[in-house]
Amino acid sequence: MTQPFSRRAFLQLAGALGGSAAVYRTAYGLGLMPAGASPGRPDLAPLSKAGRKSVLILGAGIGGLTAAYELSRKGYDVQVLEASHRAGGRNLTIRSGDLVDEVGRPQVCRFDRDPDLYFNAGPARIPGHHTALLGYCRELGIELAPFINENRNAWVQDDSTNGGKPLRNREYATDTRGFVAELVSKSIHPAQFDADLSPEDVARLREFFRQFGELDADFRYKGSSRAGLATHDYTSPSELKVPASFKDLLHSPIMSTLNFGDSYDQSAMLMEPVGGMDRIVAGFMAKVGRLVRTHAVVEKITLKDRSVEVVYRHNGRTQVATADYCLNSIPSHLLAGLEHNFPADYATGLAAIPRGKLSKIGLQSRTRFWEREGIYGGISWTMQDITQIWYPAHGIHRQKGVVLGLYNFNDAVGEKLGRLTHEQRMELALSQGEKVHPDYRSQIESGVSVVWHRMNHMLGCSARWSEGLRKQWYARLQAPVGNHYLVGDQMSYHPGWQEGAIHSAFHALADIDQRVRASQAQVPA
Amino acid sequence: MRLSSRLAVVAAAWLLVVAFSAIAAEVDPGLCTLCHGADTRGNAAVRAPRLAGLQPWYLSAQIKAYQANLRGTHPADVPGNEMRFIAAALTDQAAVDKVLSQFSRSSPSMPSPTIAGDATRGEQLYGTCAACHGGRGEGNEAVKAPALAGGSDWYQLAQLRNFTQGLRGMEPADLAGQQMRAAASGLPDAQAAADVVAYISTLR
Repeated sequence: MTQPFSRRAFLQLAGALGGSAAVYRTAYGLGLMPAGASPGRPDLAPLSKAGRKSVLILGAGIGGLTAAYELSRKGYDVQVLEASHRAGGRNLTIRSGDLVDEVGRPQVCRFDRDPDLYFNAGPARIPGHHTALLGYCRELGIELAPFINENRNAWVQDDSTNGGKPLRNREYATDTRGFVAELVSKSIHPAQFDADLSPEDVARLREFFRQFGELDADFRYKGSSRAGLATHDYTSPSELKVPASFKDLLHSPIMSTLNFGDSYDQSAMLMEPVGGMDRIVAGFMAKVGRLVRTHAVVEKITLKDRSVEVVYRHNGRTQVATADYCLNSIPSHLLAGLEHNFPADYATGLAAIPRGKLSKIGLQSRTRFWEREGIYGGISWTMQDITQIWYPAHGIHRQKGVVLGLYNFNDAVGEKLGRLTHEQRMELALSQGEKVHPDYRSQIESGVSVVWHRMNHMLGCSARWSEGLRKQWYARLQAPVGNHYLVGDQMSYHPGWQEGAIHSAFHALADIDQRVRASQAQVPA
Repeated sequence: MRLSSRLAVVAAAWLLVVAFSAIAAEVDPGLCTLCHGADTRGNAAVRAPRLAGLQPWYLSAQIKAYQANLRGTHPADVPGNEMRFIAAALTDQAAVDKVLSQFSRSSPSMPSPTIAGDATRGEQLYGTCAACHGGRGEGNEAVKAPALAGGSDWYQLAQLRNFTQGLRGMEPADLAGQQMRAAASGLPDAQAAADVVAYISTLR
């Protein structure tokens, strides 16, 4: 009688036949992986010296670096071509002396030289469920710290609310909740529900809303200490703040910000690398930096029968690189302008995906004035172009700090910022920031503006996939053409997040692994 | 001796300045091809037209128009604004001309038509255009009319719209632009613009 297959043996066989994607799907089916797990790192079959394969990676962003790291560990010959002067892509931390390579308008950061004076101009948060990225942080020894996204002590400001004066986030949030709870608890009637609600159930529901809004015994909202106290002399009885009027709150556009911190990617717990997001880039570069060539600008991509040829300019000279496979994370809208022999529909798809026009401005402040306002980390909101002010959670109580003085994700505002000079952008940041912090202007010493759709070799932030574009192009562009794979966060359902870039790389690597295994299975041992 | 050594320092400094300005006089063609595509074939995805095949005098005139704020100032002309900022950085005319002549000589594969229009109707309408731009769309420097044949059709359509809607050619100092604005307003409707562009796509 033959031995029954062990699970392990079965998985090994599945791997040999279908590659790591098959192992993953099989393991998932057998219940060996937790439901809802993200795609695991592909378990690439190691290549022997004789069976070596070469992979050319275009773009040294997080997707490209992930691929370079995984492939080079498994015996692939890897070369990474990066157009800009640095690796990292949109993972960009800006410090003293750094070049901000905006097309036609380069800036040099004039912050003081100090390890705490920096800001993350691209991704800045890592949600706890971004397990692939967090896994690399663990493996590459990147120290992490909690990231503070929501801070009830931070401000919300709008010209139409409270006479334009900022309110503490907690005031607006608490009063809104209180009034909503009062309104709902007053209007609950059993007849409104399909399900039979007993008088006891209704009483429980009203009690729920009483607690939700901290209403008084008569279900009225008369203010709550959740909004903060009017006085802070703890030797005297405390005094509540006077609530805002419900109508004012209802009419305030600040309402749109209230649930921002509740989304899956924005709610606690979030993490950030100590010393800047680009510590992740540095971690990868320590492993694969020798494979990365910067200032290498791709001009032409030719799909061949069993390889891909890439022509690029490096230091004014034309070079040619050929590899068995090509993983390409060049932004699709720039790729569309290169010389290539892609199928016509594929080329049309490349040109069809628009980009976001996000921007950030980092400002060095001569004192950490926000800490004297009880703000340690987190974000203030204002209904102006600058949208948000972020306070650093590192370097607390030191002399200086760098605040994020603008984080815009509205394309029309992005275009406006693109039309302004750096000096005009600074003036915009100061004049609008003054509405949140009256003394702002006198505090700010220097600043850097990063307008992503004007940055060299990028000309845009994350890909903006509409539902229609997804349906029309995503599968077509995700599938390889010949031995060429389009990768990066642009080829994920999570553009704008590093986790999306890593998953995209995993997806392509699993496919290459499968093809390599299949080709080697055909060769007699 | 002391004087001569001082002179030597001055001479060395002067040489350094000359050397540095010689380096600074290079314009990296990558600054142009980033948007305008490899060999400046054009890239509709970033709304950058094909430059290959356009005469250097025209490219140079447009750079100057951007620099003088005669073009790309209207807030609705987003790509025009972007180009205006790039042009502002191109301060060395000789270096710019060198790059431009390089582009006018490059011959990437011809663009395929992207605008659906009635080329037969367009041919009739083109009669007016031919007076300046030439019967084969070859252009005429004497009347400051650029070549049209082989250009990006989507760009030509966008520019006709810009001229008629007051996004281009509204500055009194932009004589050629004003002329073209008047000519463009002679097109009866949006379909006529598409038709004439469809015809231009057939010119070689």
